[in-house]
Amino acid sequence: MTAPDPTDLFRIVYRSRSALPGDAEAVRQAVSALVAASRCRNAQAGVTGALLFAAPHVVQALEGPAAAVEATFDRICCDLRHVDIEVVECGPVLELAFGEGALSHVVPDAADGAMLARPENGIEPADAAAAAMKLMLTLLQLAETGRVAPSRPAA
Amino acid sequence: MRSVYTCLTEAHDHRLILLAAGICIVGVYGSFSVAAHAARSEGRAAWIWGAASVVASGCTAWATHMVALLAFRPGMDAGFEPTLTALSLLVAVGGIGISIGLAIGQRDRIRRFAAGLALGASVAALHYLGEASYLVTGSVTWDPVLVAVSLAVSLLLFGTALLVAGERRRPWRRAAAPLLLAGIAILHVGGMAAMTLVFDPERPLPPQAVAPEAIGPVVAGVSLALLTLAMVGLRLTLSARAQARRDQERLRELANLAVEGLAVCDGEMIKTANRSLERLSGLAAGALDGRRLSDLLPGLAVTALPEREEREAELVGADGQRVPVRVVRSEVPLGSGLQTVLAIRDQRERLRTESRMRILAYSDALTGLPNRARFHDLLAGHAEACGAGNRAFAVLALDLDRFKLVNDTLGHGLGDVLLRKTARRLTAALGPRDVVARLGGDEFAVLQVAPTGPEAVQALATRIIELVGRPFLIEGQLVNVGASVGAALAPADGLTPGDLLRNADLALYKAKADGKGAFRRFDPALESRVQARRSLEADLRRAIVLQEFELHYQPLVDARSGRITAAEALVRWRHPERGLISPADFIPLAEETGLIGPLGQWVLRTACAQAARWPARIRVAVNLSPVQFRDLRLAETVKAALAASGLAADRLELEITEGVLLADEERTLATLTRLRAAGVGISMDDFGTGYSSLSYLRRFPFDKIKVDQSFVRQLPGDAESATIVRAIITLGTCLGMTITVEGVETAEQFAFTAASGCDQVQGYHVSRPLPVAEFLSFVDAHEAA
Repeated sequence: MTAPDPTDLFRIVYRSRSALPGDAEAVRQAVSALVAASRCRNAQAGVTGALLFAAPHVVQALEGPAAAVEATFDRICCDLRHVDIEVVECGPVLELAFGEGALSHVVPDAADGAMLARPENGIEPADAAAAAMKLMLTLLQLAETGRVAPSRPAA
Repeated sequence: MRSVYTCLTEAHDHRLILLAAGICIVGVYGSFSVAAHAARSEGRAAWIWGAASVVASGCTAWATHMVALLAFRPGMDAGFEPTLTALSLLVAVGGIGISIGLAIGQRDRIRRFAAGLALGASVAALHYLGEASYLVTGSVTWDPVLVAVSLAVSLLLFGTALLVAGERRRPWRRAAAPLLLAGIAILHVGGMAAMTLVFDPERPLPPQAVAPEAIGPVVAGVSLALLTLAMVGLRLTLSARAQARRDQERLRELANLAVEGLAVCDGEMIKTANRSLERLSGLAAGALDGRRLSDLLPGLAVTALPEREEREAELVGADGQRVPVRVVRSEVPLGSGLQTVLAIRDQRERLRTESRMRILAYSDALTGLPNRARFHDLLAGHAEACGAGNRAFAVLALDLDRFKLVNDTLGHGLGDVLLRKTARRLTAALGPRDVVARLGGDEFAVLQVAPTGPEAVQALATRIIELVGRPFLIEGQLVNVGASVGAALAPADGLTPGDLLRNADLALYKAKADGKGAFRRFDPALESRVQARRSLEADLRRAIVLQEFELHYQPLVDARSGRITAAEALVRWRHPERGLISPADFIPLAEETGLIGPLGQWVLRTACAQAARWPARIRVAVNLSPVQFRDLRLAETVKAALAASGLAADRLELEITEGVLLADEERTLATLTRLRAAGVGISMDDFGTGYSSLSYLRRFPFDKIKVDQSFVRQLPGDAESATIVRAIITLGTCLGMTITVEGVETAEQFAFTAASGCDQVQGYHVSRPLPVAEFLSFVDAHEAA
């Protein structure tokens, strides 16, 4: 992966709901496969980011050159395995906020997942999405300090 | 003493024999090279060179003969009879001339054979005349049998030699020269062998005999002339060869310039090829020479190819790649004979262009999806296939909501990107056998193959709406559009492509009307509504032409005095079958179709013309539709109507609703200002409903406000309505505007409004709208009361 050009860094964060069929285990496996495939493609495209999956919610951040991010987001928007896509944040940025991995995969524990689901009742969806993004960032930071074990690509 | 000499056995001067042979060779060469030049020349030059060649060959034969005779040493005095000697030369020249004349350019074998006989006869004549002219001191005797046999054999050989000389096949032609040589040899040897010289001193040389020493210079002169001719012939031949080489070089350059590949072949073998063919086959220069054609064009029997008929073939290049080509064979006269030339044309560019043209003709250049024409074809094919088996399929029509807005605000470039991205999302929504096409603009259509039922169509529409409804990220900007989808299911909702597409479109209109991002399936009721609307539209067009409209007038009275001060013109349509039609039923349609333009003009002109005949204190009010304000000439139209009718401008009031002010406010205000300046009054109609923004009242100084009848209906019982009406009246009065209350139906309502300070009252309590004659009677009756 080439070093990102700081003048052309773009970030998009969206939230969606999984439409994967099957029981919890089947869904978990499907998500793992999806993450693996995305890592591969993102690495080729020079896109980095993170994905948080707390069934059925998905929050994904994509960072990288604007054109590459646009192409990746296009592909994501053609995917019928998730619905209700909602963009939380979108615009040029100066630095990467979600690390330099092709796709960090964050699996929150039950309590974190509940936090994510909770704002559904009563709070504006945009606020809920923003909250989800903050949660994802927090989880990532926690992972770096070693308090939560994120699923990272095998070295 | 008698000595018998035979020519063959007697001693010859060998040097002279060699000289004779030399003269023969030089003479033959000279004759032939000059003849070849004659063949290359044209017109008079050909004749002159041809004649020179004939004379030269005759002279050669003669000179050879003479030198050979001079070489003969019979051992007795010898001499030449001058007349016969000269005659022999003439016979040789003439005979060869006749023979050539007979043979030249002839395909007829008998003529060629005859020419050969003539040649033989002339050579024989030369020989025997020459012998006859040779005088010795003695007698000459002949063996007649030998003479006859040698003559016959040599004549046959001469004839055969010329016969084969004109044959097509080379080995035959090659036999000509030896046959000719054999003929001459047999003639000569036979003639010599048949001659016996007997020395007889009693028979001296006749006095006219010319001594060999005297004839020598003549022969030498002829020989020298022949040598000169041979030099000329050599020169001509050399220059001809150089010319031929130049021509060939030029031809090769020309062939190399040709775009087509060219190969000169000898049967199956390539003799030479041009550069284009080398390029086409990927071989180095000269590498094609000597190759077999079947290596280059496998499967093509070149020899069986009819001439000048194009054949498709495949050329195998150096690296084994196959190139589609077209091959034409032709037989071309090159050099000595006909040769097979193959022209090989590269078809790759043409095939690429053709396939590109097919793609362009049947696909949409922007998205790469099939275009309208292709979709129609696909649909027709599918409809036919499914019609037989009564199998189901669906046509979905869709367009983007808010696409125009995106296009207008972000520019066409981004609009195009949006369409491309939309095409990808639509493709993602489809089943594996479904087809999506772009019909034009933001219109797309989908052919759903074999849906299991209406639910499957609904599911596809839902997927489409979901995918297109997702945000689009285009050059850093988020763009939100949506899709509305209408569907028609075959066979229930139509069978033909035209019906299905139209019905899907109708369903799409319904979907859009019901709210964006919706899906509707075709419903026959939609069609009947559309039909009804269509027939009403046709009727309306006819009505405008036939002037089936009339104006009714509803009086406005002064709230205090009760006198009629004005009348509102209201258009009515007297339909020949359906009777009087209310404006509510046709004005919206007229506005939608643009027919409001001519209709509005008619209303304006008629109202002005009729009001011009009313008492001068009664003004006329005419309603203007927002659509009429889109016409920039509205102010001029109004002035023209006033001028035509002679109605004073201040007797005309134009009523507008706030809808007029909603669109393009600047232009509307400018038009209103111009109308106002002309002296026309402007009223705000239906005030109190809609936005009723007070800023309208500030922006434009209306002459009059008409309070909407919905407030009046509840009067005077409803306290809130009463308050509102009073407030509007106060507001208008303070702004210096006249207030009219519409829809006053009861005496109580009239009393309330009058008491509230309203200026004018309009409604059924005063009068319903009346035809113009009744209105005038009403005015008269009212005045009289």
